Amino acid sequence: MLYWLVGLGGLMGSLLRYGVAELSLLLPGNEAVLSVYICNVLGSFILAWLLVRAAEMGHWGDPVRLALGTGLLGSFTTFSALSAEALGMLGRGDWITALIYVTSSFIGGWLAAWLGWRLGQPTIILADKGEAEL
Amino acid sequence: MSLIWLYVALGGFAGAMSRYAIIQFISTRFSTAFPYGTLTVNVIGSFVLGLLLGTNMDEESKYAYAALGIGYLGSFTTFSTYAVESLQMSQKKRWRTLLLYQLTSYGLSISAAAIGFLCGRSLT
Repeated sequence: MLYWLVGLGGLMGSLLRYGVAELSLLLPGNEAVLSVYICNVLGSFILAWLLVRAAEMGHWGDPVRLALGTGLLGSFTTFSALSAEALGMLGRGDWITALIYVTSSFIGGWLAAWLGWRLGQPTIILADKGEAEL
Repeated sequence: MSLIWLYVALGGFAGAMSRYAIIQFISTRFSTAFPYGTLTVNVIGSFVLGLLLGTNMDEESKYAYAALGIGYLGSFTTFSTYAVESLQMSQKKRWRTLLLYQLTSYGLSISAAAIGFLCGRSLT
């Protein structure tokens, strides 16, 4: 049952990621790199937000976390395409671009997760200056 | 609507299930603070994607690449969990673990993709 939730979430996440990739073809320039980056940063933001919210959902927390967190957002974001893109840059001798890509992936992912975690905090807890752990 | 979407979806379904199974398997056996499960799927997935690209699958068989490369491996590997784990490490002030996680995630995954690519090239 839990596996099906993860699988169905993964199905939707991969379709959304492919949709973003198709949309990015309308843009000029390095659209493949851009679409992977957008999915990764956006997905990190929503996952951190979701994990804080799911902690408050009681018995609904686990299925929501598995279907939307592990399944949908886990599949919407990707690391293999990131590795392949970075490898392509290195292969062209573009060491600087590869370094910028990797560094901005780390910073973008980290900041997005931080922002999602921060915005996910319930207002009452914020007022108490106490913060829920992820 | 192109049939490509169907292949991406089927791959994504199986990829997410496989990732969940492997991370569950690893996290129940090695209960450490270091996220070996996420690292493992990302490194293995990067190797296999490199392998597919090395054999030119993305140009020679579009449907197979949509199912395996975009759907399966795209979903098998993940970035959002890695980002949340990185945030958790910094919130717990585990700076050395955070640094090690970054170096291994990017270093091993990109190296794995390179090795996979070279293997793919030698097969064709």
